[in-house]
Amino acid sequence: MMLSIQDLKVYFFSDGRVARALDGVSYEARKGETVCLVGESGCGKTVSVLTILRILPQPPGRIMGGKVLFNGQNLLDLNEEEMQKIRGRRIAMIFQEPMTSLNPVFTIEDQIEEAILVHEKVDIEEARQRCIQLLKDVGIPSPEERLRDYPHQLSGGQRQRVMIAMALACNPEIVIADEPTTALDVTIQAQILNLFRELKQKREMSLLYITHDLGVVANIADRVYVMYAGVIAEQGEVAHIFHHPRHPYTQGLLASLPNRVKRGKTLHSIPGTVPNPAYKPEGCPFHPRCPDVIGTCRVQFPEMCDYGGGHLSRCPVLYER
Amino acid sequence: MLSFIARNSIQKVITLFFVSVISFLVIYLAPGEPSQVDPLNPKFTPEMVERFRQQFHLDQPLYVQYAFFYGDLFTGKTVSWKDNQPVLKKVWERFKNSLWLFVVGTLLTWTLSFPIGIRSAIFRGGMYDRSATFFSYLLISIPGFFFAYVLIILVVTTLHVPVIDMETFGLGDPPWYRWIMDRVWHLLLPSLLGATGGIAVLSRYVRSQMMEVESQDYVRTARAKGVPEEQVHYKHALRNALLPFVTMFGLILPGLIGGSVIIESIFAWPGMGRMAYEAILARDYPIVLTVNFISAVLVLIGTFISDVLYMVVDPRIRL
Repeated sequence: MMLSIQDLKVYFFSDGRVARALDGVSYEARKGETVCLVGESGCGKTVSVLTILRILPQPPGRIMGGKVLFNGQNLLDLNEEEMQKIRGRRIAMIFQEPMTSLNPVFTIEDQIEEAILVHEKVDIEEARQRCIQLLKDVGIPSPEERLRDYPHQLSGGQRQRVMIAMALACNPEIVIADEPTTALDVTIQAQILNLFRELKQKREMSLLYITHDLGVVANIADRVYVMYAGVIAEQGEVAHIFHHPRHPYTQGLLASLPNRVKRGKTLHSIPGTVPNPAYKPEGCPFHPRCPDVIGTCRVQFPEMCDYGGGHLSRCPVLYER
Repeated sequence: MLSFIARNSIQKVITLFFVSVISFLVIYLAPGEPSQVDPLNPKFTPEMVERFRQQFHLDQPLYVQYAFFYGDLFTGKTVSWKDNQPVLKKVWERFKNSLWLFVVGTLLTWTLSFPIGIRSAIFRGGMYDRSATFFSYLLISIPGFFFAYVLIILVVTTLHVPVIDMETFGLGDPPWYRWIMDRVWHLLLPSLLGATGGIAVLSRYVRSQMMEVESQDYVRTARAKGVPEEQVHYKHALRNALLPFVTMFGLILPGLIGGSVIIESIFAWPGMGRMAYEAILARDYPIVLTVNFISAVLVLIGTFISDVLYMVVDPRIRL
């Protein structure tokens, strides 16, 4: 197992209140696999990956328990210096906002080369050659000229390509992409997704891809984790999740996809909103919005139910039917 | 770039013209008259007052006075009404004295504020940050003149060194090392006092600027790349946090001429600020207007330097 998050709990402490952003989350990514983490905004997807790299702002966040196993080693036990050697070199990350994620006062070359030079002892000329090769790999035309550009001179799609090049600079074993296409327009989204698929095939790396777009999931994922309010609601192979969803939340999400509704009919939507992590409901966190709710849902936190083949769902009500 | 300089210079000359007109009008509109032509002044007879009026062109229409004054200023012929000395020479003498205070004070302000503010931002909420905040507000709140007297008493009674004026009265012609030490002791308190307010305020700005930048996405990106923590702070964050201060740097230039009236008065420092203040009291218009004009020129030069510096440090700015 390349990356395995086990029962991770991250709470935020502010104004005397506790927000349970992650309430015992477990997921894993195998070598060469693309894993998607799906869920609405605020369900804890980003917090969980920031915790993997240990770049979650602490305070206000605090890791209350659990493990982050990377090739069997618990990253939460490492000191800062050991962690620096893992960040960017073995686990790399791509962020949501290419507009603000690149430093405006350094050139593209400076920023990509830095990713190489902090981890490897290579001379500047070799770093530059690798930089050019990386830009070629991510499909940036005339990379030699782009090297001297500053981020503001590039378009959003190109900046995200630069971010990807930066993440790939040291051939990481796993790349975490946190909604990398959300800020881009649709045609560029498709291009970037294709780029991800292409790069993954070439480089045999694992990809942990965070999104709230089920269309993207269907496009690239091998396995899917559906998150809701700081817990995993359902997990399984992408085909299982899409064809036999076993959790009312997943079912609701899939029913809300525009292409599953007949033209002219109202789009389905899940009633209510995601609970504030500081005021989560008792029992199953989804019960106030759930169409299949019964009495026990309101008091008892649901266990994972196994449907076989790695397909698990946190809804005993549907399991017993 | 060249077109920017050309455009900018023309704009600034126009601005300067309006500044000269307005400051001339303001002086004219202000109550009171030059002591030489004040009818209430018992030293002068009405005939003498009339003679002064003619000599100073005060009997002419305002625009003629304006033309006479700026004509004299540009040909370097302006003289003080009080003692008939050339104004530019007087300003230059005082300027050299103020320069000491200005240079030492500015150096102290800028070299101390940045380390203090940056450290506060990096260790925000900690013991260091909280005590820095406390002392900043303390120094901002203490009135300068009060703090000055406290320091004078402390330094004079414990160290027994002279601190008033620019050098010890009647020092004569001592060996060079004693001369230097004498200057240092006299410079110490006024420049320190001039800097304290600046340090307190500037270090707060640096802190908030640095904190703002530390929460930016690109700082997180740098961390995610595996960049060591110091490099994250001092390369990625600081480079961006410094940008607004570059603009401020050009704007300290006018401080060259302003001096500090309060500090120069307390320490009997023969500087620009005190001269301008005394000139205003005596309605010595040539000195007041000259100082005013020079500071306007320095402000315009300062903003120009800021613009150019900004372009140098921020790749997003193209003029």
